[in-house]
Amino acid sequence: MNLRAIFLDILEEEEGHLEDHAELVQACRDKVDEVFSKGC
Amino acid sequence: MKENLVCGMRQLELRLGLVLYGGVSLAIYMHGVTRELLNLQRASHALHQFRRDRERGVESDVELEGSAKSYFDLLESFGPQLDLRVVIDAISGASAGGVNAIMLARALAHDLPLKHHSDLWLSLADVDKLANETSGVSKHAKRVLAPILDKLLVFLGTDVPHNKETRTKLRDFISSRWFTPPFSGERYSGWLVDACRAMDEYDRGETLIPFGQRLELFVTLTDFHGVLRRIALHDPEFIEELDHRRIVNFNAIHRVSSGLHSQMSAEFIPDLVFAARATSSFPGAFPPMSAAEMDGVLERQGLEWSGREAFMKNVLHANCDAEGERIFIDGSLVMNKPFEPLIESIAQRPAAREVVRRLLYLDPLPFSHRDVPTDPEPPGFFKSIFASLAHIPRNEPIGDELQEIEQINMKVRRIQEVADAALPMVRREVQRLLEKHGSLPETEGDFSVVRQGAELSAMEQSGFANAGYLQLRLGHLAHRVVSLISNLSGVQQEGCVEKGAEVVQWSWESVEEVVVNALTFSKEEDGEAQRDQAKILNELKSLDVDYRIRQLRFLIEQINKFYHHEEIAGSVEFARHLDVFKRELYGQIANLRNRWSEEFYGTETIHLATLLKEPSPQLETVRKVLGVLSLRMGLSDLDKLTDSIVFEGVGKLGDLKAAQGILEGYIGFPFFDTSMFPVQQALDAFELRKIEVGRISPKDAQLLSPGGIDLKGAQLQMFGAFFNRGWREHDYLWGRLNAAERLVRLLRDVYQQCHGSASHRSGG
Repeated sequence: MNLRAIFLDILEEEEGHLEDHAELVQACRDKVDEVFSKGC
Repeated sequence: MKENLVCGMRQLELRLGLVLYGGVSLAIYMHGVTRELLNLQRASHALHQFRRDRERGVESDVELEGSAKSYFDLLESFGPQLDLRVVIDAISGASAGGVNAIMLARALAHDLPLKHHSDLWLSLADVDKLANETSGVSKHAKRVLAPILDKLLVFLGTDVPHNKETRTKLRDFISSRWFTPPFSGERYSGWLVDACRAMDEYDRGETLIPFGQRLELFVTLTDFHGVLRRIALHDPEFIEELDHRRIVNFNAIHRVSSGLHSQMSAEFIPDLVFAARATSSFPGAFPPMSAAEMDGVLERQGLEWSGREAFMKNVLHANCDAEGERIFIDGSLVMNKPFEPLIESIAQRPAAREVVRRLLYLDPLPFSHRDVPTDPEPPGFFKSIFASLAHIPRNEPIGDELQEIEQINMKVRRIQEVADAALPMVRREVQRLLEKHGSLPETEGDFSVVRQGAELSAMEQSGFANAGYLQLRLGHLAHRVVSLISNLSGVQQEGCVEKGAEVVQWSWESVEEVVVNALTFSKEEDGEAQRDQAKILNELKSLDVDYRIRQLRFLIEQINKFYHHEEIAGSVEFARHLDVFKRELYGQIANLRNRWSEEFYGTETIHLATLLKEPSPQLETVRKVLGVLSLRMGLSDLDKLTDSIVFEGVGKLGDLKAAQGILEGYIGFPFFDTSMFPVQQALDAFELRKIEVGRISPKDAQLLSPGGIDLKGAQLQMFGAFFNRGWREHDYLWGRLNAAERLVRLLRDVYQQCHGSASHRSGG
């Protein structure tokens, strides 16, 4: 679960930093949830 | 679980060497990767401090931001079995990778943030901001050209025709000034200076380099005009050639006694920015880099370049150029995949703890079968020229470097096989030598006598093979001594020469021959002149620093083997003892290495060394210089100290098998060296440990994107990310995510590898 936390930390940090990529950040968040909900 | 069993954990260091290379706008992806590398080392450093404080009974706060917090938790979760410390200790970069290598090294050396460089890459690395004034094609002409250019854009990249921002910028870019570099080098240099200075606002005098360790940085530059080198031949007498490759080395050392000594501090910003700007000066895009450009940038910012003269002389070799200043362009032209300096650097690094070493290279655009055209057509006239001048050299395969590492690993195996083959005989000999003492002699004095006895015994027992062995040692020693003398006398062996310089009828090679003669002694035996091996050995003992370094490195390797032995793995006390033992041996190696440094010697020795610059140095003069060097080196005192360290180190292990194994490595080394040294010389390989390589690339991290990510910056001949902020953000974010996935996998692999013996020990 540490990798999940690291991914989410990065996405949280960049959410307010990246101007054009709110959609990409959200898509990555969804992917993180999907991947780790399967018990990765 | 918040562990407090620090003393009960097995300690391990994961040492990373990094190679970052070219990729033009893929620099932005690489920057994302370096952000995570920094976060990981910062987390590891914080955990180490936290544990040290706790050992001393101090409760300290951990202040970490972003992903560093989660890396901290991950590393902490390896306890109570494993205390894993991550240390990046060498970084090598070329071109776009060179810029990122420099900034990461600076952040590590002074515990500084990289966020200002993120802003630089995301906000400023855009054609609109990088480009020089557009005064090329008139507005009317642009209107006429626009439809034609739009049609051409279809061929340039999959996303280009559909992206308005990229299309517009590309159209403007193509119709700007032609036949001059479109990007402003001065502006780029200025931004790099700004970003470095912004980093320094966070400088609290800290470092992420562990005590006693060194961080080395290598950056490759291409010297446009080159420096003249002269190489001696038989016929003609010599040839001259231009050397365009320059590898710039910066380092930061965290000394236990005197703190951080860094060539990456604020004082060195002009040097570092010069190297960053020069290595990434892509031909045709940026103007070449020169000291004049740096002077202008610094003058406009009201800054001084205090180390200018030293940088010009020592790094840029400006003293070799009688005709003007040196000009530098993209470092990847002469060395696109800079593994070589890194391998040389990491091979002999001290490691007080048990160490796992990995060489990581960052490849933003790895080969894919999709890149191979299914039905390749013969290239046209311009395509052939462009590919041969730029595309193919910049995309030379990584295979050569990896094969070279495989060759090194193969040589390591061969040398290990030689040592293994000799072991049974060496073991018998060591037992025989120690027989009258039981196992370990009672006093240090007796121990020294046994060690010296082994040297004589190895010489006697190796028979006629010993003559060759001693001759090889003599030749090697003569070469090292002459290198030292050449440095002391201020005449470099392989220095550049000025154009038209006179041919000197003297060379260091001729001095080397005289040194070998001075160290070679003969005696009459059966009416024939024979080499007096005992006397030669005696001479070697007074000067052969490298023999002792080999001996200590071999001994450290023997110690490393015992970390996994059940006697040690089951005891925290013994494991810690091996750590201390190794630290002292590394200290001795550092003392020995100092003997090859010109700073170790005083003015008298330097004066004597200059006497050897005569065309035909006399044997007596050489003997006199060798005598003085021998006296100054004081190797017999160092031998006593080493004997004392080993005697105490082995003594504390009592009757353990490890004690016997370590004794075999030390006392038995003269026997091992007689077998191994000729092989090492023949293979030109002195490594005792394999190099394991890992890669970080968009294709290796597939958890969030099966099949890997296609980086936007790869489009437009790798300039893509300079044309669109969204593309830069895309690549930067994936750089961070990919690196996180790869680094966590690496940490878990190391943990899994070590877990067996660690879990065994936690039960003990």
